[in-house]
Formats: sequence, C-alpha cells, structure tokens
Amino acid sequence: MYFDLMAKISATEKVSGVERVAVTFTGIAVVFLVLLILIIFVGCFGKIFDKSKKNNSASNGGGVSAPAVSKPATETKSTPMSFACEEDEVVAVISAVIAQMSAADGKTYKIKSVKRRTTTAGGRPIWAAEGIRQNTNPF
Amino acid sequence: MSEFINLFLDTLKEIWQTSGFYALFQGDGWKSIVMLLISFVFMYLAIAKQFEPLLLLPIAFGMFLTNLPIINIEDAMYHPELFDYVYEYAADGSVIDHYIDYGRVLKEGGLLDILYLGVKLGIYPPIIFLGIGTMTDFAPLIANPRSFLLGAAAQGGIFFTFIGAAVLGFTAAEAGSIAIIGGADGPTAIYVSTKLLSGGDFKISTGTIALAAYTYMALVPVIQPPIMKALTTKKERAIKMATLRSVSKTEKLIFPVAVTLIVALIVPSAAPLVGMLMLGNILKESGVCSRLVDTAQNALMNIITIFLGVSVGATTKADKILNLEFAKVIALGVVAFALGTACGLLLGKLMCKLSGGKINPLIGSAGVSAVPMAARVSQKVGAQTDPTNFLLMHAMGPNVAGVIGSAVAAGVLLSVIG
Repeated sequence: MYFDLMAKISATEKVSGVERVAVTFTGIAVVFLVLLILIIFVGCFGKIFDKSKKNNSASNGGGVSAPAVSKPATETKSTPMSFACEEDEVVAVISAVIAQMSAADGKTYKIKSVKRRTTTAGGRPIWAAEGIRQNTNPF
Repeated sequence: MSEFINLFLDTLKEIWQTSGFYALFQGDGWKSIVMLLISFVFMYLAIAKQFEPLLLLPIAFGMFLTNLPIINIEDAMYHPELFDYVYEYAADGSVIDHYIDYGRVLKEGGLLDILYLGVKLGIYPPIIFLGIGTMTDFAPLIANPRSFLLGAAAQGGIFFTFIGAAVLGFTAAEAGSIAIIGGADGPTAIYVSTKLLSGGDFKISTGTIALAAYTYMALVPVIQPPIMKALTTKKERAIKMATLRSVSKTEKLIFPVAVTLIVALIVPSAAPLVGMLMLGNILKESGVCSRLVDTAQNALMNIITIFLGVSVGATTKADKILNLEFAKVIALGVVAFALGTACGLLLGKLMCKLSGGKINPLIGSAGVSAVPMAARVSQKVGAQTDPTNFLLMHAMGPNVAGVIGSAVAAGVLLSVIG
C-alpha cells in the first residue's frame, strides 16, 4: 500500500535526510497499521467467542433443552472426587506431622478439626503463589 | 651428506612455510589471531555463561574454523570470493545485471560454502520460523490483543536506528540491515540483511549483522533491566495485572490463518517469515499433525540451527570483520536494542496511565521479540520489586507480538529499499 506513497530507495546509495525521516515514519506507521488491524480482528472474534460461550453456559444453566455433552459431565463429576482425595491426603499429612510432634515433646495432641485458612499472597492461595514462584524463579 | 641435510632442512622449511602457524605471523595474520581469540571468548560465554549456547556455540566454532589460516586456498572450508558478484556489462559499459555464480559455488566450494547457501538463498530463517511457530503459544496475545501495540512500539528501535546508521554514512541497504538488529530476532536479521546486501558489494556482511544480533540477544538480561528501571517507577513495576481469559481452540486455529492473510496482503515481503511462523503454529494448534510438529520443533530446528550457526560464524573472516564499520555496527546494534526496549516501555507507561494503572509497563520491554528471553526479563524485574508479582504470561503477549511486528518491519524495509 505504501508503494504508491514512496518510491524505492537505492540500496547502494547513501540515504538523504528526507528519505531517513520518510522510511522511519512509514515503517512505524505500517507496523502500527498492520498490528492495529490484527488487534481489531482478534478483539472482535474474541468477543464473538466469549458471547457464544456465555450463551452456551446460560442455556445450560437454565436447563432449556441443552444438548447432553458427555465429556464435561465426566469432568464435573471427577473434580470433587479428586479434590476430596487431595483433602484426605492433606489431613493425613497434618496428622502425621502432629504425631511426630507428639513423639518429640512427649505430649498428646488431639485433632478436633482441620480448617482451610484463606491465607493469600498477592491474591493467590499461598501454595499456588509458591508454586508459580518456584516455576518462574530460574529466570 | 650435506645434500641430504639441505634436502631435510628445505623440506622442514617448506612444511613450516605452508603451515597455518607461519601464516599467523605474516602480514594480516594478527587479525586471524584476534578473531580466534574472539571465537574462544564466545565459546566461553556459550559454555560457561550459557548465553544462547545453541546458537552462540556453532557461530563461535564456525568463526574458529574460518579464521584458521590456510595457505592452500583449496583446502579452505569457506571461500568468500565465491559469493562475490559477477557483473554483466552492456556495450556502453553500464551494468546490465549482477548475480552470484552458484554453479561455481557448487563446483569449487568447501563444506561451509555449501551450508552457507541456505543463508544466502534465504532458506534457513523461514524454516527456523516454522520451528518457532510450533513452539509458540499465541494464547496470551489472543486473550489480550492490546499486546500487539507493545509489540509494534518496540519496533521503533529498528526505524530510529535506521536514521542513526544513515547519519553515520551507511548506504540504505547497510542502514536497513543494521537497523533490523533492533528487532532482537536473529532469523529476521539474517533474512533481511541477506536480501538487502545482495544488491551489490557492501562494507558490511550478513555475518557481521548476525554476530551483532545474536550477541545482543544473548545480552538481553544485561541490557534491558537498567533501562526498565530507569524508565519506570517502583509503583509502576509493582502493578499486578488481572488474570488472562482462557482462549478456545477455535480462536487459536483462526489466529494463524488471519495473521498470515492480513500481513501477507499488506506487506507481501514479510510473507515468507510470517507464513512459516503461522504454518508451524497451525500445525501445533490443529492437534492432528503431531509427527510434523515433533520434527519441526526438534530435528529440523536443530539441524537448521547447526547449519545456520556454523555458516554464519564462517562468514566472519578477519579481513571482513575487523574494520571500523564493524565497530559502528556493534555500537548501533546496542542503540537499536536500547531504543526498542525504551519505545516498548514508554508505550507501556502510556497504556498504564490510560487503563487507570491496570497494565504494568514492564511488559512493554518484551515487545522486542527475543522470545522468551525478553518476557523472562520482564518477569524477573517485576519479581524484584514484588516477589508475588507474576508478569511472565502477560509479557508473553507483547513478546510474540514482537515476533510478528519485527517480521512486518522487515517486510517494510525490504519493500522500501530496493
């Protein structure tokens, strides 16, 4: 498109002052133009997909003759189960640590309840934050 | 007896005078010594400091091989004279055409001459882009398309450096080749300089550009942080960005086709790079070409990286490199990098202000391609201010946008300079 606006500069000749400015501004303008078109395009189809996703979830939630999809159904079933397993493992680990403490100081402890504390670091659960920190630390 | 001794001594003298050791201390032999020492430094940086070792080590070894003084020219692995242009003249003495005699290269060339054909013909960089495409996840960019702006802004380094190079007296092709170093994208720099510097005989070569580009890419973690800290406040660096939305598979499939379509129609010169990048990406996202993806991102990428590195290193012959022009390229290269980083950061600051403090300006510096090094630097500098701040995924958006942006900028330079 800029071919019409600007003639080609000879590769083997030195660049004049006007040509320097022209190349710089043409270059920046074309790069921004192309990427702006991409922003608009990607933004538009992102919105369309979001909308269709919301419509799908709304229709599923409302129970209005939503088509039965086997995959998500198994996912929703399996999630609480695995979560429960993780919870049991966490309780087992806490019990083991307390038993170890008990053996070390000779006192007897009784676990009345195990409650999740909502400790956060930067808006994330503390273990999630620690996981991300470890994964990004080597950089 | 004396005849025997004379014959023996003459033979020894002959062997000494045809050896590389003798050549090292004759005429410009000192230049070869300097280049050999530079190659050792690069090998050290690649192995001990792990600065882009996959590329720097083959480049350094190619540099080592090409600068070993060899008296018998036929034994050399790289012959730069084979790539000199053959000119055809009209009856009035004007040049009708000029070309490289590739038949002669195939007939008389050494191993590195043959490998260098992939650089000279512009084959390796697009194939590397294919491999990069299979390894790139554009989801952060699709989720936050505004990242494209940061990728575009960082290309300012390319065009502002063009002015600097032109002021220093370089021709248009040389200035364009130097400026593209600011894109912080090795394959793009090689592709553009090969194309631009094929129009005649120039003071700089593709090897010079590649050497500067890869050296600065390796030094991204050193060059960028001081600029990032100087141009942002502590408060800005501590900004935490909202989690990105999830991107559907359909969006990921439409993206490479749309980008190729738009870029190739507007800047056709960028089509080989962007087209191959997006081919690699659609192979990956399709999920049905796992064998091709595996080959492109492993075997093919590794083979081309070795060929590219060694042959580019081989172009750094002492007599072509050790001159004032090389020093100027090195100086302008760092200016290009710094300007690209600064442009990205400044637009990041502007977007931060306009969004009411929702965008951390540090992600702007990742707009200078150098995937994923520049994004890692954004993450690192952000985490230095607040260890619980995770900018990596946010910075990957501008980072991959920078790859597309530098390919578009390359297309512009190739179109404007003829």
